[in-house]
Amino acid sequence: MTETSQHDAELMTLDEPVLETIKRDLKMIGAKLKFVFMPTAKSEDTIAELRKWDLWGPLLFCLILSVVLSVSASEDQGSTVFACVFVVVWVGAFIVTLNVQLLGGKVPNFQSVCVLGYCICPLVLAAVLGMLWNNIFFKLALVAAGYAWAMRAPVVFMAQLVSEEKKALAVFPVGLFYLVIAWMIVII
Amino acid sequence: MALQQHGRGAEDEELSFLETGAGTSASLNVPVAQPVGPPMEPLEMGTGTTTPGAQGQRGGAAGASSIGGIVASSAQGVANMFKRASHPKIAVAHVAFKVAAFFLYLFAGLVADNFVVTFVVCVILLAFDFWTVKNVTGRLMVGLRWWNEIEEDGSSSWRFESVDNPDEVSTVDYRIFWYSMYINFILWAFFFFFALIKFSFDWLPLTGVAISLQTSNIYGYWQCSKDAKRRLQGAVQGAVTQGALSALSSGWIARAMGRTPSEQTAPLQGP
Repeated sequence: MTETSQHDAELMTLDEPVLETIKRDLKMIGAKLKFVFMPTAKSEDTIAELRKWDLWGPLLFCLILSVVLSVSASEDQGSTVFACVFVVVWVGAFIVTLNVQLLGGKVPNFQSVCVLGYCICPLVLAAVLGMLWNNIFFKLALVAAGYAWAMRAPVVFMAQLVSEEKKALAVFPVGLFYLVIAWMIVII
Repeated sequence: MALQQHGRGAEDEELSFLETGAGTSASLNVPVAQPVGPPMEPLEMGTGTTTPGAQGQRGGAAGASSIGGIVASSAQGVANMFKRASHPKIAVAHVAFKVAAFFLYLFAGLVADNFVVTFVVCVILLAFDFWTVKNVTGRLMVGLRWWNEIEEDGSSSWRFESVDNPDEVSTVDYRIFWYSMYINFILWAFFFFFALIKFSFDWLPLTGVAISLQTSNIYGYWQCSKDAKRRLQGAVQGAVTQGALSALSSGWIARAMGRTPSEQTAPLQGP
């Protein structure tokens, strides 16, 4: 019964104007950004919001990160850096997702990639701010702060998916993934 | 207006389409939506016969002008085809992002311009194209929609939505929608293959992204249209069974009441 009523409610979307679709998607993206910056919630709304995954956030942050790093790289390596960062972010997200799924966590592929991609945001911010002053300590401080902030949300998300004893096994690859990205930001 | 256009010759048909413009596409659909053959072909045959004939009459320099004429008339033919779609702007949007991404990749890659800018703009165009086809052109052109929902227990389910009456979808829209998706996919598959054999690992991620986006759209819409057909068949069968049952029951009731069954059931068994 709930499925059909949900279906009927969604049936309205066949005729909705384009602006409505755009607004709906933008609201979804905004809700997820809120979760990334304030991952307090075990509340029902946030979890329900997270369920509506989308890949716009990950794409945007991945592109911004790749562009920023390729700009600050040396001339001849610019395009290689760009391609590497792009591939590392996407492939890394998928591999971490695979790991959680193999550990028994029931999370769909794209939702996990979505959360991981959105949580790169603090690191991307750190990378952008790090372009202002090319001092290694400044960059290290920024990236460390960004890393700590970026880890809060996915830890909460991943931890609730697997059983108690496997929590560390699920969270460790996430930490490694963000560590690799943070390290790339520092050295380039 | 429709009868007058049928009366004119093939050359005038093009001009009349140009004059009427996008607003009257609904009326143009009526004479064109014939059961035999797609609506595109009569127009293309018209362009084929007029151009050489016109050239022959003038007897001018054959080479450049005829090629220019063919290009111009085929461009006109394409423009007319789009004008015949029931939502011309949507149809153009459906194709525009694909064409832009394709040409950008082709010519920026050849000219060896700034790699990063080309890559970023291409990815953005591909992403816009994916979103437009999934959310806008699909439901407006062919009345189909697909999306993925995640249930309470964490499993994902694919939802499909389709228009109740498939006759509302015009043939031109249908063709533009599906053929442009197929052709785009084949082209990007070629690009991926060539990037692979040339070992140009710079462009592989881009072509990989393009192919995965196209594939997911094609697969989603294909499943959606299969689901729609299944639902229609179910509805038709339900209607037939219902009609038969009501015919039987009213015949039975009529017989029970002493009247002849033929008077009761004949109008129900009609088409």
